[in-house]
Amino acid sequence: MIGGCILLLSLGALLEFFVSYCRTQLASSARVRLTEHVLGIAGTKEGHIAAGEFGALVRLSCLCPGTSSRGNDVAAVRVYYRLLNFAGVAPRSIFPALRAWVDGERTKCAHFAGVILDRQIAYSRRMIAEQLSASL
Amino acid sequence: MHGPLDYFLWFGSAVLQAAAVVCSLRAKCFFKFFFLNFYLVAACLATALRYLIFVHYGLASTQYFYNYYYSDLLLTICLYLALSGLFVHVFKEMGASKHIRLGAVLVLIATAGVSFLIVRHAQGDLTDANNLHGAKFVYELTQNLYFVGAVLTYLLWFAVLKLHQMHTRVVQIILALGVYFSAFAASYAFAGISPYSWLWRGVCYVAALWLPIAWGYAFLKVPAEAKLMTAQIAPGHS
Repeated sequence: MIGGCILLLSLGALLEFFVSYCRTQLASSARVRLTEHVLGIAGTKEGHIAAGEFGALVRLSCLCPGTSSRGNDVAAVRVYYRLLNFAGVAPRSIFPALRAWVDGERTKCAHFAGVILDRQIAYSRRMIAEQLSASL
Repeated sequence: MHGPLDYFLWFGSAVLQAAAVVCSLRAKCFFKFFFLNFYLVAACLATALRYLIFVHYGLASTQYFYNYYYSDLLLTICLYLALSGLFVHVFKEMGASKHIRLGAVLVLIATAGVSFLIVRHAQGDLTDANNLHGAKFVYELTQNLYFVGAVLTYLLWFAVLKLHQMHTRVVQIILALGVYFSAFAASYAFAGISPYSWLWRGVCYVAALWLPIAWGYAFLKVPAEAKLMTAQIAPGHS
């Protein structure tokens, strides 16, 4: 009985800590404006990337050459995005507030992925420019 | 018997702990987060010691058994000290560091006392010559310290949320520690309910990898001066 209570409390705390950790990652990228290049890739010009673009943007950033520790950046947020997708299964008519919150968080995840892709593209361009200047 | 995956995870966690210390040295914050780094170094050394004893005496030996549980307790106490160091870090502007240290020692003594009573109640007199009682006390105390650690990290997190803004690095370190403590507390509780399940051991391995990765990331990638509005990450904020 006590073991079951400790298990439930610990799992609840684990979920809250993990969600908050991911939200600190998202908060640090929220103020970053995306370049038109990335907005074009995501198929939008309004400055907001659709929530469903998260996976495609992460895959694209993985295709960029070079390394800037994107794995560490994205891994936790990717798990968070999957958790949100799981929570997003809840019917909108029964849990309207939850669904609205989940949609907002998924959009933040997509923006975060856009920032990572932007950073990767800039890094790749810089690397190519350095190689070109070195070969000339 | 250990498989290749066990060895990989065993040494992987030690390598990551060493890497996290290197990250803090590179970010020039080793002494700022001294107790955290002390724990990482101690965990690395404990892994090396366990491996030496494992090679010389084997996994089923009494030496390995005692070394594993006693070193685990010492590491948990180190982590508990690291947590109290984070409390001091958050509350240093209030000048409450002396009270926090005293409180941390009292909570540690109280947890040890409760663990002693639990084991004595379950097993009879602890002063028996049977050393297994001592090992059971060590196991009980480690388990309870993880739970107390999770509760204290939750209180610290609650206090951080009450502040207007906080350094992003400190926030990430606290939250990573919270994930670690609560994952271990949950795995210990699950082990009590279902001792033969592989799930609780897997959670321990993943949590052991998680902490040095998250701390190393916070040391190296999060700028020292970066601050975060705590309202942005509060549970109710959208």
